[in-house]
Order: sequence, then structure tokens, then C-alpha cells
Amino acid sequence: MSDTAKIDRRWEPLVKEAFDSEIIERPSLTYWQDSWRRLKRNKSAIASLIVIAFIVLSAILIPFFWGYSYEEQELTLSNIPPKLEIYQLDNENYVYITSEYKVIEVTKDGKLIKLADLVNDDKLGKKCYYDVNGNTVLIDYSPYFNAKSEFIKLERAYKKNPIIKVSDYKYLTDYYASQGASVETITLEEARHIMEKRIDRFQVKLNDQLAKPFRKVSNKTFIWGSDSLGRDMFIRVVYGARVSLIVGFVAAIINFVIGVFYGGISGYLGGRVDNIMMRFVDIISSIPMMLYVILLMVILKPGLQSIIIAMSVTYWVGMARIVRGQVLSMREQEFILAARTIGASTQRILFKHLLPNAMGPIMVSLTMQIPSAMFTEAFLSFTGLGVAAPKASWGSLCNDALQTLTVYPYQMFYPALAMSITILAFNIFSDGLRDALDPRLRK
Amino acid sequence: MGKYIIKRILSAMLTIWFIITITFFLMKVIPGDPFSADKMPNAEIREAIFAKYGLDKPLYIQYFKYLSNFIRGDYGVSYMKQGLTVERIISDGFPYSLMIGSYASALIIIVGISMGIVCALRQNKLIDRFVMILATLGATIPSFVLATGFLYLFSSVLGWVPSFGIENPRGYIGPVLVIGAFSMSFITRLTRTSILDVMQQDYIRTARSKGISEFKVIGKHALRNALLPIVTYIGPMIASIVTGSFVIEKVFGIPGIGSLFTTSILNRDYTLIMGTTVFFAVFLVITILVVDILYVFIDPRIKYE
Amino acid sequence: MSDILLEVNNLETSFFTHIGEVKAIRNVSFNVKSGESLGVVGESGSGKSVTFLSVMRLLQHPGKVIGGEILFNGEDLLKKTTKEMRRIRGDKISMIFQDPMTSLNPVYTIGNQIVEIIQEHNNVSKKEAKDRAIKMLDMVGIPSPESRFSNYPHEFSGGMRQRAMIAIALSCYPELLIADEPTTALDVTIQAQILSLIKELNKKLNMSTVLITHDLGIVAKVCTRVIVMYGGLIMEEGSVKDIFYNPLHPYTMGLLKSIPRLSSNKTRLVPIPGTPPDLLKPPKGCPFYNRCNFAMNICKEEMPLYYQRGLQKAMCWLLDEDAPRVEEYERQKGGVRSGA
Repeated sequence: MSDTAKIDRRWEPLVKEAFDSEIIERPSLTYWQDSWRRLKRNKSAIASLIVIAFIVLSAILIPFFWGYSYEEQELTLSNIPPKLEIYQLDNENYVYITSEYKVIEVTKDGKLIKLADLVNDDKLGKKCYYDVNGNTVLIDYSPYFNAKSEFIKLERAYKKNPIIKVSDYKYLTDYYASQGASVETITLEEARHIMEKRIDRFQVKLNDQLAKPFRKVSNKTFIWGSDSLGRDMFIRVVYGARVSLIVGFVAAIINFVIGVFYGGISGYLGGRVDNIMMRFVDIISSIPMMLYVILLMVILKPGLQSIIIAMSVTYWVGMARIVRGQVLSMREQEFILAARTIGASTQRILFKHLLPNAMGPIMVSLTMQIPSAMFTEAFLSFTGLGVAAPKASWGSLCNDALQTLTVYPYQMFYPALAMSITILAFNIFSDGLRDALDPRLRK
Repeated sequence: MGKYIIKRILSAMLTIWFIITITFFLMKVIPGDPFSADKMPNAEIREAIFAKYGLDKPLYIQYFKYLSNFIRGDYGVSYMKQGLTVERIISDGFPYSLMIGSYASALIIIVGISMGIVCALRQNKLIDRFVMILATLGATIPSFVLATGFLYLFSSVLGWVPSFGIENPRGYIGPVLVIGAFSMSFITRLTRTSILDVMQQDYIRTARSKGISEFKVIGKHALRNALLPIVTYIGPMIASIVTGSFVIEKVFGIPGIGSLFTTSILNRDYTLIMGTTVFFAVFLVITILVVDILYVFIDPRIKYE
Repeated sequence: MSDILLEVNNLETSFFTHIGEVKAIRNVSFNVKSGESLGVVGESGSGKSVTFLSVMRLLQHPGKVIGGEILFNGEDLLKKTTKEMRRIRGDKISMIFQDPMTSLNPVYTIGNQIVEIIQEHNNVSKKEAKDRAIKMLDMVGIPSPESRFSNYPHEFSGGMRQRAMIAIALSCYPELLIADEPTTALDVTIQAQILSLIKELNKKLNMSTVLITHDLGIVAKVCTRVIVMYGGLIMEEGSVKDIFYNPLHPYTMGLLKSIPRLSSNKTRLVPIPGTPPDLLKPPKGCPFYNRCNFAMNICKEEMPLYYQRGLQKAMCWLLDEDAPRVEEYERQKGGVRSGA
């Protein structure tokens, strides 16, 4: 009985719920909300944004409470690296020996006290004597020095006679004697190896007793070391951040403003005006900009202002082109026609309709200009045309460090690292921004 | 097509004239007189130079004199390096830069494009991710950082390359790699995107429906279309090689025209600055012209612009 | 004449996207006879293009054929190697696509693109290939074919381009031509020309054609048999006459009613309300249930069977012997409605 009743009901008309036919799956979002959501999902873009925020905040805030200023010099404490290998003289006295064989008194955990008093500098015998709180410290760098000059002779002799006899060279004899080994001949590579790696660069003798390296500590006075004029590297890199960021942002913004006006007007007016304006842009862009930035820098006096001026004069063309392209394509779109049909004024059209829609590529372009500007500034500073001493920018810091790269690599490392990370972060962020604003562009 | 080529040549000439003019007037604006008595003590020579370049005459006469000299190939005498003509100095230094630039260009194009193709075809696989990371680094780390880092690692620490100069042929490795790094990264990314784009196109589907091999689909149909945006990048690429050379030559100690330019700037050697600037600019304009003409042969649609 | 050229049985194709498996084709079976002209009608998303991309095995990632068999001249195409499939494409089965501007490679001449396919499947010299190509261009109605041979796609008008595409597709005289919405991107007048061309070539070359479209009107002009697809399944199949004068399936009826007609009676255009089903989570019953005027409870619960009426068949519970007659149905629903 119930069977037939059930079968019957199958053939009865279906009662459709109201929303069966036209369900729209997801709530609709505005373009900006949608883009923001997409951006949030892009982990590397968000990470980059955080890095940028961190750097900007550091650049602004750190100089206020940091102990040193970027121009304070302490010539006696120049070129001290961030990691020190210190020697213990006795219970209270510790020293660090610079690569120029100067003695710096330090504390046990790495704070620099002062340059020790030089008692005697025996340049001939390759030794020097310092006084550290009543103790006499001898720095003897003759072993290495002599070994090196012997090696040079050895190399020359090698060219005539490829056999190297240990007994001919004092440093080799001494070395093998100290090893308790008896060797007659060795190869060139071994001889070089012994000279470079087996002989102490210098020996530290306290009151005639050989002092051994105590331990490695981090430099507590200059956490990233000091430069050739005894200035704190850390604060100089932070200050460099300020300079680079300011240049980046200001140049990008000025380019943006000029470019938007020029491109916007050119695109909107169209016709002959557009043609002429773009011709001008074409000529300017076919001239290699870098050259002219450099030339301008030669003319204007060096400094932050000049860099910004030089870059603004030359790099706005890129933005102008993009804005004009956007305006041109927007102009033809139907919603502009619709707005005009209901009688909106030109200004209203421009600001309320055109610009918000063109904003996407413009914003992306803007965020790409910042690292570009920073790079240009660094490049200029590196070539010696940027900010003037004692002001620091990352580029000029690298330039300063170039001479002594092999001896004091840390002076190049920190500014280079800071610069690379910042530019990288901006690039990743602008990539992410572009993906978020127009996912069609991405693959 | 001929019309297009002629138009481009005229445009290039206009640009060159523009460059010469701007550079000339910029130079005249620079404060300071390089010919004051203390810098050029020999009065006879001074007078000869003055007469030749019309330095005591009004500006526009100087300008025309410069232009006419320029066309005849006389770019003046270096202020600082007594007796040497600018032309001579440039031709001494240019071959080094040209060699490095050429090797770098070859590297960029061959490696960049191949890597781009590989990454596009193995999208999101390990090699793609790896190469893309390298490319991102290459494009963002400033060239002088790369240069100094390279030197530090490979010369100081490992000793594989000399630290200075190019007498040792290994000395070429560093400069070529570093100058090429930025553009190579860019081209790899560009090729990858371009190929991925092209593979989405309908005509690729048509090509496949014809029964031709996948190799031919990619090699014949996809590649030529994908190369178009790459060819347009070659102009800026050469520009970046040129500007890269300023810094790279300084770091690696190469006596090329790039370091010539930077030293002339620091020394305020005006004729040399002018000569090298114009030289660079003209070189770039001509290269871009050649590329534009090349483009016409690759993309038949351009004829009808 | 009634030899079966292409037989598709229980074809299933899905797209494995990152949000899930989209079942584009759920169980499709049909055949194409030698020399006949079959029309395949459906909305966007019905699976009509995907079916034939599956036949040609041109599906790109993430699409995949997951079931069924495709018999061409008796051989299962799904079992063929890539190399074997390549020999079939362009030579035995050809396909033309919707937008001829984007479907032709812009950097090569039309001539080059025809010669390419000829030389791929035939061992002929370049000169001979060129001659054949020019002959083909002539056959599809392109004037001055010798000079047009060296033109680029952008130098052709829309209609000419589509003719060129047809020339490419037919240059190896395939046994089957699949035309996927060939006229959708063209002007109405050009549409008519292209359709005539296809019809003419179908007869002249004794080649089977499949015409995929969303426009029933086109089908009437060119085809002899029609398949109506919806939601990845075939709703109805029959001769053009049967479909137009005696449609069995409510969807077909809906399609017919929504064609605007130039007649003197002023009748309202009746669109089919609603949207196609989400193939990510396809309904377990008839895919059309939520838009059908005659839907019954069983339609939502169970997939209908195919019911035959002569040479015509449709997948609809209405055709079941237990189903109520239309008048009874109207009475139960309460209200006067315009039936088929």
C-alpha cells in the first residue's frame, strides 16, 4: 500500500525552492576588497611588506636613541671588525690586535676601551711595543713578514729550478723544526701553504710570555664594526637607510606626479596635442638616461637634493607613458561614455571615473619605481657622485669599503646586505601587488 | 617597409643631434674654467686651443664649431691628459669594453632564453622555482654588490680568479657574469612569461590539431611569437650593459671606456666627458635602431603601423 | 552511407582543478555516420566543445578523459599512442575553431600554414604542396588564391580568415571535420556564406561534419541530425525534422521557444529561466530539473533513462510509461500554462 503511494509521489510535480534556479555562489566584493584579499593570501608579498615596514621604522626611529651619530669619528678606533679575537694579558687586561698591528684595550666581553699607548715602533725589526696599564706588550710581526719575503725569493728561484730545498729558507726550516719533522724538499704549493696558513701573522708577548688568543667576542662598542674613520658602521647603515628610502620615495612620488599630469593630460586630450607630447617623450626616452643623470650630477653640487632633481628630470617618462596608455584605453570604455551622457563634467570624469580605474597599473608602477630609484642613487653614490661625506648612503658606504674589501669585508657586507634586502622586498611586494590587482596578468 | 626604416633612421639622427646639443650646453653650464692660466700654463697652446674651438667667441659660434668638428670626426683634445685626443683615448679603451659587452650579450641571450624556455615548459617544477629564485636575486641585487661579492668570494677566498685586470684570461669571468646578471635574469623571466602567454593562445591549439609534433609546435609556432617582446628588450639591455660597465670596470680594474667615463667625470675632464657621453649615446641609439629594424623582419604585422 | 565513422560510448571527461573535479562530460554516447552532417547544440558549459576536444585528444591540463571509448573506424582513439594520434589529427579528423583571428598564427603566411599540414601528412615536394594549397584556397572560395597564398592572417577579412582555416583543415581531405562554433565570431551575412561552404564541402568531399553551436537556427540550415547537450549529458537526439517539429525534451522545447522569429504573430520571447548546473557538484538527477516547467520529484532524485521514439530519443522521465500525461500534470500543478 505504502509502496504504490510512494511511486505515485515520484511523478508529482516538483516544488522548486525559490532559490534553486539562480543561486549565486559567492558574495560579491568590490574590486579593491577583492584585490586586498588576494594580496593577503600572497605570503611572500606580505612578508616583504613587513620587512619594508620594519626597515622604514628602523630608519626613522633608531637614530633617535642610538648612542652614536653617523658622523662622530674616533680615529683611534678605526677599522675594528664586529667580531674580535681577543688576547688575555692577565686577569683584568684584554687586548685586540688590529690588522695594522695596533693594540686596542678591550674588556672581557668585547667593549673597546682605548688605543693603547705606543711605546716603541720598530719598523725595521717588524715589532712594536705598547704599554697597557703598566704591562709591556710586544707585537712581533716579523716571522710572517720574513716568511713572506722569503717566499717571494723562493717563487723566483722556483722558475729556474723547480726543486725547493727546505734548508735554503729559514721560515721553512723553522717551521719543520717546530713540527719535529725532517723534510728535505717540498712543492711550491706546500711552501705557499705554509707561508699563508701555518705562520702566525703576529705574536703577542706580554712581558716576554707568549699570549695565546683568548676567545672570539662580538664587538660591543661598534656592533657592526667601525669604518676607516672610526665611525660606527651600524648607525651609518641605518642612516644610509634613511637616505636611500627618502630618495626612493621622493623620486618615485615626484616622477609619479609629473608623469600622471603629463600622461593624463596627453591621453585625455588626445589628437595632435597627444602626438606632440608623446613625440617629446619618445625623444627623451631614446636618450640613455643614466648618462644624463650622471652629467647632471656633475653640474649640480653633490647632495641629496641634486640626486632627487636629477632623477626627477629624467625618469618621469616611464610613468607618463603608462598613465597615458591607461587614460587612452579608459577613455574609450563605455562607462566614460555613460558618465558623459548623464552630463558629468570633464574634471569629474577624470577624477571620479578615469583615475580610480587606472590606479591599478599606476600603483604597481609606483612601487616598482622606488627600488629603481634606490638602485640609481646607490649607483651614483658608488661612482662618487652621490651624497657628500660625511653623509652616508648605502651606495657611498659600499664605495668607501671598496678599497679595503679584502681586509675589512664587513664594511661592504652590511650596507650591501641592507640594500639587497630592501630592494628585494620592494620588488617582491610590487610583484605581489600586480598579481593582486590584475590576476589575469599572472601565470 | 622601406618607408618605416627611413622614418626610423631619421628619427635616430634627430635624437643624436638632440644628444649632442644637450650635452654641449650642459658642459658649458658647468661652473669653473678649465682653461685658466694655472691649469694650462703654456700660453701658445692655450691660444691655439682657444682659436680652434672658438672658446673666446659667443656660445652659438662655439656650438656650430663643435658640430662641424664633430661631423668631421674631431672631438677635441682631452683637457687633463695633455696632448691626447679624445678620439684616441676612446679608441684605446673601447675594445676592452666591447669584448666584455659582447661576451655578456651572448651569455644573456643564449643562457637567458634557454633557461626561460626550460622554466616555461617545466612550470612550477623544481627547476622552475630554482631558476626563478636565482633570477629574482640577479635582478634585485645591485651590480656593484654582485661585483664585489664575486671578487671577494672567488678571488680573495677561493683564489680562482685574479683580483684585478684582464691579462689573465680568467679575469673575464667576473665582469662578464656580473654585467650580464641583471639582464640575464630579466630575459629569463621575460622569456618564461612570454612563452607561457603564447602557449595559451588559440593558434597553438590549431597547430596541435594539425597533428604536428609538440617540438614543432613549440619551436616553430610558439617561439617566434614569444620572441617578440624579448627583441624589444634588447635595446634597454645594451643600455644596461653600458651603464653596468662604469661600475664593473672600476671594481675589476678594466681599462675600458666605462671606467674612462667615470674617471673623466671625477677629474672634470670636460672634453673627455663630452666625447664619451656622446659616444655612448650614439652607440645606444644606433643599436636600438638596428633592433627596431630587426623587429620588422620578425613580426610582419609591424609594416602596417 | 550508413557506415558509422565515429562511435563514442560512455565518454567521461573531467577537469581536475585546484578547487576540485569538474565533471564536464558525464556519460555521453553518440555516433557520426560516414558522410552525414551532425549538429551538436548546447549552452556554454554544456560540454559540447569538450566532447570533441576529447575525441581529438587535444585536452590540456587539467582536463582528462576518465572513461569510455572513442571508436574511429573501429579503433579506440583513447588507446592510441601520441604518435599515432598525431597521424590522425589533421589527416583523418580535422577541427576548426571559433575565432579565426586568434586561431591563426600571426607571424606566418596562410600559405605556409597550409603547406605545413600538407607536408606533415604527405610526402610531397614543397612545390607540390604549394599547388595543393592554392587549389584548396580556391575550393573554399578565396579569390586570387595564388597571391593570397603569401598573405598574412591580418591581411584577410573575418570571413576570409575562416575560409582559410577551413582550407587548412581540409587540405589533407579528412574523413571527419569538426567545426566548433565556426560562425559565432562572424557577421550574420558572412555566417550564411560559411555555413553554405561547409554544407557544400560536406557533400562534395563526402566528408562527415560535426557542427557545434549554441544556435539552433544554424543547425536547421546545415545538418541532418542533431544532438542536444546539457550539463555534460545528451538530452535529446534525432533528425533535424524530428527535433524541430516534435521535440521530446523540455530543454529542446525551451530552446525552440527562445529563438526569435520573423513572423506576423506577436509572441513573447520566452527565455529559459535559471542557470546551468555547477559541474563541480553535479545534481544526482536530471541536470535540467531546476529549470524545467515539467519537473517531477523523480527528476530531482534519479537520472532519467533514454526513451526511444522511432529514430529519436531523449533522456526524460516524461517519456516513461508511468509518467502522467501533460494535462494531468497541469491540473496537479494548478494553473494554465502553455505546453509544448
